[in-house]
Amino acid sequence: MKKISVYRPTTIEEAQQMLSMHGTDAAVYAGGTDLLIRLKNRLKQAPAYLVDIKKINNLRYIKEDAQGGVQIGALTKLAEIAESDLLAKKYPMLVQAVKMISSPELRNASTLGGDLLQEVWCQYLRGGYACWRNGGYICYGAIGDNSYYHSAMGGRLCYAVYPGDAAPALITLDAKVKLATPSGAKELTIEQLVPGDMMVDGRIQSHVVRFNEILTEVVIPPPKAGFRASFEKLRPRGVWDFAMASASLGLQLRDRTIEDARVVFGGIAGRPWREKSVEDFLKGKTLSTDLAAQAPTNALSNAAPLKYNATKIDMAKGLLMSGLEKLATS
Amino acid sequence: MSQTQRPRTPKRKIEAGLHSAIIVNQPMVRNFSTGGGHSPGDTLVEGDEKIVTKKWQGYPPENLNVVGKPQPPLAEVAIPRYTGKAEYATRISFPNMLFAKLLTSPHPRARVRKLDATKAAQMPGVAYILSAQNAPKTYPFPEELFFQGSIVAIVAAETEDLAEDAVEAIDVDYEVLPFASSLSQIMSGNAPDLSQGRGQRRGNTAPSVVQYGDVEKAFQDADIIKEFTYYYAGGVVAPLQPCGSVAKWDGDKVTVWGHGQGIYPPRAIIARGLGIDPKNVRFINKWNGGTFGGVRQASEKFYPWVAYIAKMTGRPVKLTLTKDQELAHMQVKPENIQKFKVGAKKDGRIVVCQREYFVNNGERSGGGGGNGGRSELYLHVVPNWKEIGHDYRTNSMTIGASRSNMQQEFKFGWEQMMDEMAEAVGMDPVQFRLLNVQKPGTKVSLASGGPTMAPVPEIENGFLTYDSFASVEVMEEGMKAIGWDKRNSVPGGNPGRVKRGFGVAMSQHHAGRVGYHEGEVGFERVVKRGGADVYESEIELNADGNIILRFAQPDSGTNHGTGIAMAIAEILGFTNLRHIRLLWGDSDLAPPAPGWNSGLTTQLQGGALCTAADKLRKDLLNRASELLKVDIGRLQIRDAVISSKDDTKKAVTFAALARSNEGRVIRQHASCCHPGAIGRAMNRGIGACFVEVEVDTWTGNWRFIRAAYCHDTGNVINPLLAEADMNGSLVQSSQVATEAIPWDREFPGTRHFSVGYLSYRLPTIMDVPEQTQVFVNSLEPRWYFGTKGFAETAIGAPPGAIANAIYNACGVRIREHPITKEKIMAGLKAKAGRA
Amino acid sequence: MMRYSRRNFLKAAGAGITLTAIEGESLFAAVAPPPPTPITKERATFIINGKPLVAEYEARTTLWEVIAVKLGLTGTTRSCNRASCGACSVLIDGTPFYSCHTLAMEAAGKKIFTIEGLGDEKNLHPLQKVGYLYMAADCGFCTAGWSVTAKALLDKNLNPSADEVKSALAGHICRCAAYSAIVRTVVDTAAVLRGEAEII
Repeated sequence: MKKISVYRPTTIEEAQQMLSMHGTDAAVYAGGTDLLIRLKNRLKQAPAYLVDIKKINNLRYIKEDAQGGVQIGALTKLAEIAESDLLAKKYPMLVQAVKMISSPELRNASTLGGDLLQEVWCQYLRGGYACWRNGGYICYGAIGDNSYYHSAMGGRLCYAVYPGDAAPALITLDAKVKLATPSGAKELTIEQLVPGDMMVDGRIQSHVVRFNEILTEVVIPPPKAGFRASFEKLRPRGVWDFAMASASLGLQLRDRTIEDARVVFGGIAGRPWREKSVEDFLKGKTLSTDLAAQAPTNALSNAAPLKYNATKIDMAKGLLMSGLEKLATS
Repeated sequence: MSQTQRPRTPKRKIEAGLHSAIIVNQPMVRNFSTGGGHSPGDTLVEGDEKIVTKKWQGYPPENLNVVGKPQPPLAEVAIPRYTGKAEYATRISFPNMLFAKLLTSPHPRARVRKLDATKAAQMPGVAYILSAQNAPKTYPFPEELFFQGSIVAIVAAETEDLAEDAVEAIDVDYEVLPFASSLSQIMSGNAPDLSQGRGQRRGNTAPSVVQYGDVEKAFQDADIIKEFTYYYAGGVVAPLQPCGSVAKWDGDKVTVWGHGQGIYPPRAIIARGLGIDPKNVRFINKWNGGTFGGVRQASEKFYPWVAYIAKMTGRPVKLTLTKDQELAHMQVKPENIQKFKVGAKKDGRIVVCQREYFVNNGERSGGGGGNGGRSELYLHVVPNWKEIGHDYRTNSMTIGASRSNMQQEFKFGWEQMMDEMAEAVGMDPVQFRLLNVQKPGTKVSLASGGPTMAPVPEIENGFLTYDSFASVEVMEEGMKAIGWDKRNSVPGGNPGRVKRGFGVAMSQHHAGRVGYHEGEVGFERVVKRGGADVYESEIELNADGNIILRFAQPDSGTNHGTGIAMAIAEILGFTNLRHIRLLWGDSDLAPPAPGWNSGLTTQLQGGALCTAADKLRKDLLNRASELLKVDIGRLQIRDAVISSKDDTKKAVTFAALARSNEGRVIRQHASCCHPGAIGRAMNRGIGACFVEVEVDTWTGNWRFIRAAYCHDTGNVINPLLAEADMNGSLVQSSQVATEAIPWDREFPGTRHFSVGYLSYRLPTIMDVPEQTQVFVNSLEPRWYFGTKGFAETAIGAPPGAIANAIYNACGVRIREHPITKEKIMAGLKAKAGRA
Repeated sequence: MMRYSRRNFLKAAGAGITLTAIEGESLFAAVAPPPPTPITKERATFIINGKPLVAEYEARTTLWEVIAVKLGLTGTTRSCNRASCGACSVLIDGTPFYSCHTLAMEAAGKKIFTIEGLGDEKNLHPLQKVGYLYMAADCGFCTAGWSVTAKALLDKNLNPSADEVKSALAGHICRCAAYSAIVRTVVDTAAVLRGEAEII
């Protein structure tokens, strides 16, 4: 792989100093499961300086807070999330979603922070083509072979889909994140964290974290009584692969009446796609299999498929129906 | 209160055994189409020349102690796989070894205008850079970079990383040339001429035509006529082991550890490439992490350069290709289009079949209908037939064997066509095939059998007749095994969201792969004709009483050494394998032989060894007869002891016989040859695949639930190994149906393979179906114990079976490969739109 | 006259130039700490199958290369080199990781378990014996990888169901598709280790 120099700070401040020194030549290094692919493929955009934050204390934990919510340190491994009894009890859908990410060995190395902030998997970027994310000024996916890794909901500069599964699940749970910045701690919703296709520090990223900022924590508010959630992911194989489409659903129920809803699609757009039209449709309705059949009708009506990826929309709708059906019949 | 003594539960026994396999034995004595029963001691007389063959080569399939029993492979071959000691070329390591990496062309077609490696040569750890400028004249680099990934330079350095750093620093000025990589490109009006000056237009060899009967008239007589078009995008079965090799010199002699399917052929390539005597090349390849036919281009091609760099640097050199570079060189299953026009009668008989096919041959020039010409199955049962073949040379990888050659990629279309015709006629697809498929007694003419036929001595009146051939049985048994009676014949007819479906397809391989051994008329003919693939072997009985088998073949997980050892053991009267040893995979240890492919190893290499064992058996009996003063007819052999049937105290051991011979060893040598094309007489293999799938009509998701994979096995020597091998065959054949080579559909000539098996997905533990193997022992009368090769008989069937099953489940027919969830979803949506 | 900024100072200090105040001007901010030096190569001890082994490597060198190339423990194979196949799995402190996708420096000083630690031909582990009987390895190239992952599973759970075995081994590709035999091997090896089954 490309040559790298690795820093091992023991405090956030040290880490920020190192990141500042090198600007966009440096990057935070945690599990490295995304980063190492880019280094092995010798992408121009891959950093020469790695700031290994794993020696910093207190970034790896899963703990219940005073209100009954949960705080997850950004360096918590996906495997730890998948095996957490606390999370299984409070947010079973999150655990279910995380278990569908990559493979067991990768989940042992990958961190929650890394998963949220991962680079896209567009075959042109990963293949080293000089696109918006790799030193160029073009998106090959928009005009290329775009059945899997590209957005069916439009784009501006970069059309690659946001590939992660944790973010859609966490949006459904109204989670927030904390960033350590030079001007102090900042709090964002997940949607604010990964708005997709953003120009930050002179380059296109899916997230808003700047070169000298570090994601430190994910906070999930306490689960409410009557909240039920589902997560469905459609992919070519039963492990490893990214979502062709995914659907995270959260329903706040009083008996069978839906008081509030969260509907977030993954794998179909440059960001986790929260479909408010379906959320509005569901609010006030009675959860039933009939409702499940009706829900997709007006979903994703402003889809903007590319040449090869129109079925992402149909799959997403099918998953929506499937998720609602599951919640209606369980 | 005292504890009562609990009776100990007996421990469950862990032992080798079949998991899910059904073995169907056909009777040994029955009316074969070639006449008469096949009793031991009989001869088979065939052809215009009345060629005489001893039935079963004198070794009938009865009273067997070893052949037919499931047992683990020979420990010396298998145990190293579990301990991390199997010597794949990737595990060969030497101190002071250099690591080689490739610079390959990024363009679909180009030339190197200028290459400047001066900066790269000065980089840390770089020992040598090889390119067109300094490659040996006996083995130059390609002048034209004919496809993306073509070799431009090889860098050898202290580590892989340092080599790759230098590769990046080589400055190349490419002249990009007009290219055509896909069928649509090469068939378009403005495609460049890639024909290599053979006088044909744009790399298209003149169409090949094969026909018999009167096709035009037959279409007039047909009751139902349908036309279908199928498209296959290209596939490959990449093995897990990365392609590569290691070369090390010792004075004038070089040893190369390789990755492929032969020992002597690569040795010859290395010798020619270096311009040295083959005696100065030792080629070693004992274990492979799979080869599946395709690595010849991706590993073998590079051996002379690796050896050359090792010579120039005076150090061992190891080359390992990255996965994307490997794909650029590995033989692949070709992109192809097949257009069928088929006519049938109301009663289901196909009376005319016309097929026009277009094949993307990649870098290799096409050859008269050879590629894509593997019709088989229905040939000569259907009375009128015409095939028009168009082969195109394109800027793409060479095509060839990739877990079979010309099977899955064409039967994808063939076997969907059969299902679609069955539907048009209103017949069950199994019954439709049984009506139209070749059976024992079907005669195929040399003229129209295409490359499936060769002018062998057993030809009668220009025809060969199908003989032991279990086409009916593989279908009937398969129906039972899968539970075909549960199939709903209405496509998409089952209620509910998740719908199950059943599908079937057949396949046949030109193999069967029985050859001729020395002493047979066929052997003399083929060897005299020249250019024959002759497999030599040696068998040795040493003073310890052990039998050593020497054969120059690698083992790619095929475990054919064990199958062969079992046949030898049977011939020599052993009841187990304890006294059999192998010396294999090393040109210093075994006599010359060609490489192996398509299910012929046990038959041809094994056939040579069986013939040698037969010679040894007779030799030992003669010696014992003389020593014991007992008539040969009154002697018996069992577990290395020859004794008199009338007085077992009159006995001598194998070991004693060896010890009393000169040199304390008794050797026999024998040869066996390839019949010159693809199979002696008509001992073909045939197979079928039955599958059950499930489709989620809401999302297009589908699941492969079960398969019954049915094979005409002749006489399966080791059902445990066969079951394991065939399990893999089904999964790989399914994968080439659901994945296509990752060509870019908008930027032709470009592949995307940068994230390993995420870019080209191999089935995981979560994706594979339950399987049942069905082995039908049809008993081939011309070969030892009735065996025939069956590694690739059913292998072409899974893609068509899966497509047919998905159609049966949800009414979506996918005629355009690959079979994907997206296509199922799109098809379901289209159907819903029409509803 | 050079304008002092914190950035300039750090850069200059990195180049070895010492700056002093000129004519009463005070240096910008207090004296900054010396700039950190990143690791580009190091030398460390790896405890592999109980044995301490020393290797020198670059920051970018993967654990696979240290194990299988530098230290000569060639049992651990490597196939895709992109974390997509599992051939290269090893245990680090008892947890499976893809060694091709782990920087060597991550595993320095840690306990590593490879196929060589499982058993050899003189002393086969039940996983290897049962695998041999069940044909869990056709070509064997993936075997070292799933074997260590299976060992990690059995160390935690001596009674895994077939589904649990599949979940644990999901990150391993077997090209020869010996999956069914692999699952049965792990399930039945557990039975042997529990004392409920014996190998014939």
